[in-house]
Amino acid sequence: MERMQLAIGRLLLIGVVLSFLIVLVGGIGYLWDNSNHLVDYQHFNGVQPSFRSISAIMNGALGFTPLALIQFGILFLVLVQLLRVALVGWFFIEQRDEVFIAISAFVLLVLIYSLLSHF
Amino acid sequence: MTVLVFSLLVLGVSYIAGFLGALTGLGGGVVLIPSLVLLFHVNIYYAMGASLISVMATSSGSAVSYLRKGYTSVRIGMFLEVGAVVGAFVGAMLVSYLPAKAIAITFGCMLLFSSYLTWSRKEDAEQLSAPAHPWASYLSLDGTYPVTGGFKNYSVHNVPLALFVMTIAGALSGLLGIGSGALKVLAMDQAMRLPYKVSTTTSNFMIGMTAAVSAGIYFANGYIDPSLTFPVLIGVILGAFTGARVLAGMRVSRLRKIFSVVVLFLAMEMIYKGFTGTL
Repeated sequence: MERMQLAIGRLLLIGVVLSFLIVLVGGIGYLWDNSNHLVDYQHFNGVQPSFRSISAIMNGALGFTPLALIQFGILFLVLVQLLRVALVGWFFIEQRDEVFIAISAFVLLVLIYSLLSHF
Repeated sequence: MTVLVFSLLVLGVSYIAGFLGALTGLGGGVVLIPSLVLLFHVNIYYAMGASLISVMATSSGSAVSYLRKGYTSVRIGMFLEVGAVVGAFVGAMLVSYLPAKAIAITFGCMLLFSSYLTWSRKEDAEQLSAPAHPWASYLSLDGTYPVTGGFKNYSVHNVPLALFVMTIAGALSGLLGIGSGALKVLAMDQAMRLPYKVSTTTSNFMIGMTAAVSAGIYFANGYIDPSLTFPVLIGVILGAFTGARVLAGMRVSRLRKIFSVVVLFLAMEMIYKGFTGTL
């Protein structure tokens, strides 16, 4: 059990740090271009389509524009959550704990389904 | 205000939210959304999007430390997560059908509830001498956690009730863009009778997974704005890492009371704004 705890911890640490760095780089780029602009988040228009779907976000990230990079960093954090469930499942497979393999698989499936069906 | 000033201020507020979130077992969303909406006049949908992502970060960031220290119960967390993800899926589906006013008022009520729970939470729920619930034995949910000088056993009770409450917690998470940490902690503290630090850390562990279920819908609905989410995420991660480092050595009871009062005021404001439509 200890191994599992440490492994999940390590995964989360790497995931959070990477997400943090990607978002930070994008954020600094964004501030660099926009620091004097005025903000207005009062009206909800919905963000642009290229920030709304997995494929669009991935494509955008390849262009390395600041906002696209931020959005990718955010998506990355979401993917880390899926990875952590998969990792937990893996450890339960090692332990041959059938009930918890099923539990992990169910949680993972709900996660995957909810991501794919709306993207 | 300018982008730079805004980003720095939001970063500061998010840091506090992350810090408190890591310490109290909540996700930080209860502080973040009202702050963004009331202080910074951010539209509630953007605030929900930023909050959802931030609770994922708080959860992941603080889990690093708690897992290593051995407080978190992965088994209990994963088991309860079954209910939470189902609830979150349904909740997120409903979010676009609910008018913003209704969301604000529901949110305010949720805050009132959180405030009450946080205030009245005892530092260490007495362990029931009754034997563990049969489900707990079947699933081997009982465990140990570290105390000064070794490990202490705990047994797990009222498993079905806790699962039910988790499903509600998940639905609220999807509906409001929060972590529902208050409810999760309630289920584990009061129903399952887990030790304080086990409930807090396991709740933190779960929140990120629950929030990820709603992420797809929130992205698709356009709630997640990168320029707003960026300072929130940075602040929250820094705060959560700091908070988690501090938990083991801290007597959080006074902090919780202060937190609870703050949340109370925020709750009243949100409900008021929801009713009068100045959102």
